[in-house]
Amino acid sequence: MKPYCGRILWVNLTTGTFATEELPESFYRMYLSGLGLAASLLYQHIPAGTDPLGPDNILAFVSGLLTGSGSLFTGRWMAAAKSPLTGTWGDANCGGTLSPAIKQCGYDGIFVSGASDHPVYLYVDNHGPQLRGAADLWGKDTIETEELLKKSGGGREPSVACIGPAGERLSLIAGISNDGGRMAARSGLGAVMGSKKLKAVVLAGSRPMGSESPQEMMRLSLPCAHIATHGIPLPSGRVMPLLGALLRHLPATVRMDGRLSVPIFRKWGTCGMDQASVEWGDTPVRNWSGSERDYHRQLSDAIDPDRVLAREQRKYHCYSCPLGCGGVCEWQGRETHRPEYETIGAFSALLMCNDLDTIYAVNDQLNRAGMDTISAGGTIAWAMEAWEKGVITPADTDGLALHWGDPAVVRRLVELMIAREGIGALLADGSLRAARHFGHDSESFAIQAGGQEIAMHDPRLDPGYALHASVEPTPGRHTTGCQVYYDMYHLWTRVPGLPTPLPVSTKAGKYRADATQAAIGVANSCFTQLFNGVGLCMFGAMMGVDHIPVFEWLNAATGWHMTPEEYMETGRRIQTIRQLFNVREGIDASSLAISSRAAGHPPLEHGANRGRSVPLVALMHDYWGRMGWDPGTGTPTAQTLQQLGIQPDTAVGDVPASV
Amino acid sequence: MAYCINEKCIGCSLCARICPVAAIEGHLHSIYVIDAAVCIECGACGRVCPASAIQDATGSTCSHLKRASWPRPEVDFAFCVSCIACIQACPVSCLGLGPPDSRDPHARPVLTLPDRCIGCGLCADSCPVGAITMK
Repeated sequence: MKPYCGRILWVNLTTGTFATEELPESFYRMYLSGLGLAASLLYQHIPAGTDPLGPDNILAFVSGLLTGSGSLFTGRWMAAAKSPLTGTWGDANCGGTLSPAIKQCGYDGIFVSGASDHPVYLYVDNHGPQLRGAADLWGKDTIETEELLKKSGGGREPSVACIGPAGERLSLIAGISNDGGRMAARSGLGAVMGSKKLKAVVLAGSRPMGSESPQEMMRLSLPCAHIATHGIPLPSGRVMPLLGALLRHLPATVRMDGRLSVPIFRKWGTCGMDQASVEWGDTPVRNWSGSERDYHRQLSDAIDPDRVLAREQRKYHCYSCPLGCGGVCEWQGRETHRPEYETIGAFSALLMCNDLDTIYAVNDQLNRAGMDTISAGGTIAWAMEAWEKGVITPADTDGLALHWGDPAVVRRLVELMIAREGIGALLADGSLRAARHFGHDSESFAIQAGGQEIAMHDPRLDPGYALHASVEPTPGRHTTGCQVYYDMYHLWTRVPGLPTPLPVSTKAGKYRADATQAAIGVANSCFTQLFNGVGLCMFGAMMGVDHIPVFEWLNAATGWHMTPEEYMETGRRIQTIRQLFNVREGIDASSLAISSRAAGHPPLEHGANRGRSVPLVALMHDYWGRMGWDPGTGTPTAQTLQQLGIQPDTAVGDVPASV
Repeated sequence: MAYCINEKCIGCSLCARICPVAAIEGHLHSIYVIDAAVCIECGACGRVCPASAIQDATGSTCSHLKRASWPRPEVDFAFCVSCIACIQACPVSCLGLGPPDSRDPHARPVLTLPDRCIGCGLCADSCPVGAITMK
């Protein structure tokens, strides 16, 4: 059987009707599934200038092409729509169980248009879709909602994606929750769901999934499973900051092998990296103005990975993941997901806070509210600096003093943001909008790209983060590429012509803008869109394509005989369609560049990243040119569109009528 | 292709009651019908039918089997990677995670509700590393 269903579900919330659209095999060869499916159809069906919170916006829930095929690490699902936070193409990526559940209902994607005038949820099982009233769920948090909805089916326990109070209140940094607080957090797509009065998507199908060649899939998966479950035994977490400090002091940079991250993720999960990352300059400190000298070892001891792990009860695995980097913990008598690297970074070093209880508390609160922890932490960091500079005064905060690192203040601000009360009403829409409200040049220290707070990875350490957060059609993203990811993906072992990084190179070489950096950036983007098309987890991809056989899985699962170059070209096609979406919206691509401070303009005067500046403008222009887009504007050229088989027609197609 | 019910059907309704996706409809003492668009080919109807009235997707007649003899999944923990593909594939949610042991925090799947298991084998089919056998 094919690994894709060959059809999608359209849901019109205004009329309460459904339609099924069949897609030919040629479509999947062109766009795979996942974000490729979403990009193609949303570009076709969302009219230019659509209000992201209006009924014309379309919210897609898509599964990966390889999900359920017998491959590993391929359980990621994605949501996509026009982002209300950035006004650009928007998408968000999540693990959990929704990706297989979409396919088990018989669809590769669910596309929701229109808006209901009352709260509803979408229920789908083997018999088809239904819209059900959700008045009794409106106002409940994501975990309560999911627990109630899991009892709603007649047969198997369903998978649920839902919003919490943040999405209902149209917070522009609201996400969509799945499987007890795994979050498709970015791009503000929870607000899109809230604007449609769609509380949840409940998927209870049980259709089999598979591939064209199950035996070959297993033959390919077994060595990959072995790598993911075996690694060197690790010592105590105390070693991690020492490792970070060592990397900081090394005069050269070493090519990273992603297999080394396997034992770290398997033992501690992503939180294994937090304290080390502060030390080597990856985690931003004090709203991107400080360094490890400010958030020194005595402070960062609070986020020693062993301390974070102490509350863990068991490991958490997303669907088809052999690694299990998540953790289920006990917090105040209830189960909660262990805070991830990003959440810990955003609520520790970024805010100068060293209270682990506060990190656990806000992680649970934000997951339950359905709010992006990266944007929430970044926005609070902006507010604390604004307080320090007198931009925000006690009159704005009802007397709350927004001092750096004060755990009580951090907790209170999170409560206010979730409730949209007091200053929280402004902060709930992110730092850029708050800065524009308060003025006084406070926009200069709202650290974001296109309005979305950038994640806890410092572009002054790895300029690839600056490039990708700036050229991504959904700006501000950290999972779309950087130089270290390229090291780990090992693409040059499968794709002829790509540069092979040296095992050891000078640190200064990272800060050049040249043809090699452009080639690396484009390869990262193409591969990212490829793995977002197939539902592959980035942590799996980090094992390197010579160890995680994504190209070989694709051919075995589909029966195709495509080359790695052809699959990479598919990634370029998806990236180009996403960029076309922004072009049609009239967005100036250069306006999506990350804030100057995060790019080292001016450079830091102390710490791991002192004196470092990223030649961002040159990197962006080189990237655009290499991608086949106009190097001056970032607009895909007619020649590129022709090469990729994309119709440069900006006319919007009709959403299929109900059947 | 889905399963189908032929004219040998005695209308006992056992197939409709065991079907995990409610794909079978009919009235007592009349021939029941499988909705091919809903059927997941789990085979439970064929195993429960006392009249050998059910044919699988290849046209072969299914054999009645006492429930105590239905195959059950056995998970080889030496191969299992805790990826939960089996739990997700199960149409009756009879598999769940067992408690992690003190040496390994990665919990493994176990048959938490054995009475609910219909012996379909979808869990074994879904396992990427072949850690499940139906016995």
